[in-house]
Amino acid sequence: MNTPQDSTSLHRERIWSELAKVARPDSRFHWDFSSFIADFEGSDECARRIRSLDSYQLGGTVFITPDNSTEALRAQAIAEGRPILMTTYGIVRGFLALDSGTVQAGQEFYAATLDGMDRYARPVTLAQISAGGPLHLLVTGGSAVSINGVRFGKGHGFFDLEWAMLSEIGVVDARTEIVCIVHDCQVVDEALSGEDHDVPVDWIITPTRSIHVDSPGRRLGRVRWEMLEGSLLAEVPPLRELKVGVQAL
Amino acid sequence: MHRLSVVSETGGGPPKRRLSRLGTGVPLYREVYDSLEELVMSVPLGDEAPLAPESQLMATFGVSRGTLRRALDELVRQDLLRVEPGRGTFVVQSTKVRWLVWDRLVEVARPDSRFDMDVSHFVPDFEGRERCDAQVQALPDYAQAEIVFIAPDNSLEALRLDALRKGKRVVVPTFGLRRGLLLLDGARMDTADMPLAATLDGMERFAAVLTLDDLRRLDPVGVVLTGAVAVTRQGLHFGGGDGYFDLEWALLRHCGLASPTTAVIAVVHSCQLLDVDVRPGPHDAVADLIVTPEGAVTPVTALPKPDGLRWEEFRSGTGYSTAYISDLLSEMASTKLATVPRPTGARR
Repeated sequence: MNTPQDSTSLHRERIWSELAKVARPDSRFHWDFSSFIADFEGSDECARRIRSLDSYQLGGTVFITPDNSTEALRAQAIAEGRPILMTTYGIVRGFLALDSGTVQAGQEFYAATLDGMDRYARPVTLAQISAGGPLHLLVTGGSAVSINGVRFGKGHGFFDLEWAMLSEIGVVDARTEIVCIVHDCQVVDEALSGEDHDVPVDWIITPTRSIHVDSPGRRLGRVRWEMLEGSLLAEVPPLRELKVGVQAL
Repeated sequence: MHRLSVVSETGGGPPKRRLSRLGTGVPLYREVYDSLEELVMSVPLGDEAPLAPESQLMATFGVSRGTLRRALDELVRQDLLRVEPGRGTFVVQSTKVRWLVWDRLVEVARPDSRFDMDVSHFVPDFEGRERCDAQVQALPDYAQAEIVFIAPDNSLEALRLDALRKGKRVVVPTFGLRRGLLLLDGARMDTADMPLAATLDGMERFAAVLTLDDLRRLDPVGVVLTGAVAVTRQGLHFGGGDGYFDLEWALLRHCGLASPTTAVIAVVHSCQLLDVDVRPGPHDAVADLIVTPEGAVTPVTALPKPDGLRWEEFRSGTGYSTAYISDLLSEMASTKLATVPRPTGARR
């Protein structure tokens, strides 16, 4: 099997040039796909299909990454009154929670944007998240994903870290489902072996395909402090909270 | 790129004045760099005396010419110093202004959804800004304007929303001008869409991108609202983030959307208002009114507004993917606006 490292260089040029045809630019990063996970034509269709998944239908808070490709899902979830848990961009200000009923009718699209989440959602600590009950569903965007559910390319490490933090506070378990939203051009139709710490997904949802990954072989995560040492990422609020020990509410 | 980017690996986090150091393993030239930077920043703004000669600096720091040069080169690369062959090494005042004010601004700024508190990349909203909104809303120039230019600064989002609610047309550049100039029409929008349309994330969903022809056919703007990194009491404007107010002003002038008498209003926190005598360059933007939360300041003497452009910085190929911006720049290059007029009249 190829490793993601081999495939990344092989596939990235092709994927990004295909993506540029269907993607929407970011307000600040323009077309620099290395800085953000782009929204694309058909992301609203992806969101509709995710909402019909059993793990979504179970109810409760949905964790959604701060990607542009997941914005449509945020808007639809908000419209249905589903509470959302999200991280800030780059996790720099930790987690945000948007409670049901916070957003008045007509403002769902606004609240779903990153600018909007900063206005409507409230910062939450890991302690507060752990008091909120288990998460049945996590949804992430991605730069690229292999047919066996291994995400690769720019930015995928953030979700790995989010999974690790949520694992350490016990709000996710073996039953939690992870869904990756991508455009068809971002799916690599070969199986890749991830690294130990990679978090493979259960579902790959594109505008035209809902791909279920049988036995992705995922384990609960743990924060790899040795990799974070000295980096700015180690200073984000939830990691500082983990370092001193999450204080029970 | 500003030194803040050194500590902003993830595009976020508070900028630190000093990188924290362990005792060993710090290159000597970095220590000299830090000391030189501190020295430069401690000299009052506007003091344009050159740095001491290299031989003197070598003696002061007790280092070889090679080590000193390495530190100096880094400061030149960061645009804090410039070398004028035969004349000496000088401080780039505009960079110094930015570094000074950014350090103050992070104390009162509100984070951006992506840049967080890395204020070198954007013009932030700030504590007390709501009091600026009220002052601007009360200004006749603003109240009477049917069409307004408002920069895509976070600090101006509420005013963009206010302008839309009042049915005005709003000309707003996309962030960094990367996707051109937009026109939002408050008289032709659903009220419920306005809060989203006032944000950077939302504006393009409700706006028309202005072509060259559109720009030329548009009515002149009644007022220009902009944020800044800093403004002096004389009205000298130091633009911030990835925006190019100088270029935006030049575009407005070139297309007849603004004239030298068009009111330019800068909205800033009081920590961004500088009471110093910094000499303006011929293309530095000028504000007629500076609105801070504590009140408005009208420059005593009117600085001349630029009608040219720092052309070398804006040649096509500096990242403008909109063809018409490149076309516009080419067009401007072939007209008188491309030449650099000498500043006339009084220095201040």
